[in-house]
Amino acid sequence: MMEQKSVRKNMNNEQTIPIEIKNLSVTYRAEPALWNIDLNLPEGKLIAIVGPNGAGKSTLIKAVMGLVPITAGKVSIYGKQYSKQRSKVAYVPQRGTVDWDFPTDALDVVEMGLYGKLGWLRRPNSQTREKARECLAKVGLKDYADRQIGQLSGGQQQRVFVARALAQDPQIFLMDEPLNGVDAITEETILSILEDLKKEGKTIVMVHHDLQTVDKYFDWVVLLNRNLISAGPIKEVFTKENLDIAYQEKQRMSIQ
Amino acid sequence: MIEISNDLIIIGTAILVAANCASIGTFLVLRQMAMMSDAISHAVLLGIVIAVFMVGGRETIPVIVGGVLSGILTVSIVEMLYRSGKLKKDSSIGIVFPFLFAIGVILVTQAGNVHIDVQHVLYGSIEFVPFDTLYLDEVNIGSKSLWVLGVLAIANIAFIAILYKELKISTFDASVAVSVGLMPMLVHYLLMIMVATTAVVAFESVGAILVIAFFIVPASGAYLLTERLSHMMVLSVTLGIISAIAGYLFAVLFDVSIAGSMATISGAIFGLIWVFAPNRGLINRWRRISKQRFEIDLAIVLTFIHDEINANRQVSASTLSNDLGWTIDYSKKLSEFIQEKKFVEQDVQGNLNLTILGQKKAKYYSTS
Repeated sequence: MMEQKSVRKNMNNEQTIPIEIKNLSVTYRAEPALWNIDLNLPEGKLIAIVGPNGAGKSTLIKAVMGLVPITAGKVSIYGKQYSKQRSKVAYVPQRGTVDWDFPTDALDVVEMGLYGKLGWLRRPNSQTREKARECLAKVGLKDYADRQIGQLSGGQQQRVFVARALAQDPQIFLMDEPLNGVDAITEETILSILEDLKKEGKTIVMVHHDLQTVDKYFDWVVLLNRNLISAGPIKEVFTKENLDIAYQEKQRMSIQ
Repeated sequence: MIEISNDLIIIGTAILVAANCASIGTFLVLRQMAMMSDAISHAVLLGIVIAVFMVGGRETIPVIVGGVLSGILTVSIVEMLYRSGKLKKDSSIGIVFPFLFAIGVILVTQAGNVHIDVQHVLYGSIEFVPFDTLYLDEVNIGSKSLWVLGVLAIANIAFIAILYKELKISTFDASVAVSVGLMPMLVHYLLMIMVATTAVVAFESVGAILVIAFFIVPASGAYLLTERLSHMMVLSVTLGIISAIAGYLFAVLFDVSIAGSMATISGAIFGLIWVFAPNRGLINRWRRISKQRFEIDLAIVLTFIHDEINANRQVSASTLSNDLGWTIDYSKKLSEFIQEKKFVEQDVQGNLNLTILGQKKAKYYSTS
């Protein structure tokens, strides 16, 4: 199986690593938020980024997309700069980052995921509306298309964001705590969608806060506390020893 | 050329200023940039004065170019200070625009031979707009302000129509705009150019201080009235135009400043919307809260009666107020309400008993 995959990719002469991070450092003010991260994330896996508050989990996925300035190091998406690979990556930001009183409805927000494909100046049309409707249906919100987004529950808002990422039809999903504080239905819906995406060979990288569910939901884990503690398949990496290191306050101090 | 009366020229100017500001103001309100628009509308003075010095008169094009350049300079410096990480955004704004505006004020007061005075700078001079006419090959083609504002209106409409999708996504969620490659920073600066252009043109008629009222107030009123961006824009322009006309009539009636009246009326209209808006208005919010409180108290009284009866105790309407710590009037109102709704029946001794309906309701409340 593994060999077959590599043969196919070699024939296409394509880079096989979805996200390649080399010596990445990000600094806000004097303190480093991320320190010298070296990390290759594999294709077709559900990957959790885990670590204590302030460990730089969100910063890591933002740095991948250049949403925060990189102090040193390099990030490649399938072997090329992110700016050349935008269409391969979708981002699901934390729910709190937008104004939910914004005068727009659920369908409209999902449709925004298709603006990139339309490009500059081209208007959304019946096709994009239809596609957006499909994506909204996938997250179980078919009947909420016309609902002003502030009138959705927190879980429904999160699903709208996931639907918008689906509309972008990317190879890689970068998600910032989509399961944080959501209801059971939302959690189930999002997880089943992620399973489907995985089967299609998509790579999902998710900041995750709930240590209890890491081994249940994910294939791979990245343990982070400003520097990389460990990364790899759950069985090898998600151990008590590693977690102790990641959640130790000392770890932070040693960097400074 | 048809002669248009002075009054009509003034009203037309007022309407066009209001409509231009209100349309672009929609995005300023949604992007939480009210104070930035205030900063721009002050800082354009510097560019205008420098342009007037350089060409020796208030020629439209140099004035607009000068104003826009100083507007963009303001935005850039504010963002530079803010992004340095040392200052908050409002402080950055508070530092930059008074500085640039003050330089403008110094230049104006030094310029004996230039036709700008401080009064004009602060409050505008829409009253004198009809005397400024435009000549094309020495033929009088009518009011200059109407022409300039008309062209601006077309530019603003075109800008919003063409970049509607880009404006919407970068306003709602800039991080996703970046990730789909729609460059929110570029959209941001284009918007700022339009704001500065609009501010320069509006400056002539309503002055530096009041421009913000035309950008922000109608759009904020519209924000409280609708849940759709396109509707918000139309409503914003409508509210702006209504304020302009009503403000003009008010000014004529009481012989007061036109720009001042327009801004005052606009504020008053906003106040009405804030109180009476169907969903987001104050009264509706009170109503909703008192309705919710009543619902909660209803649950309390029904579960109370339910529990007391289960414990083989009597409940009487007269002691409810004591039992639950409510005023006598309020408990009376509630006990009448629950009897009217047939949740509760009063027997001959004056004791309250739950009906079957009331029992169901009490159970529903105690489980939910």
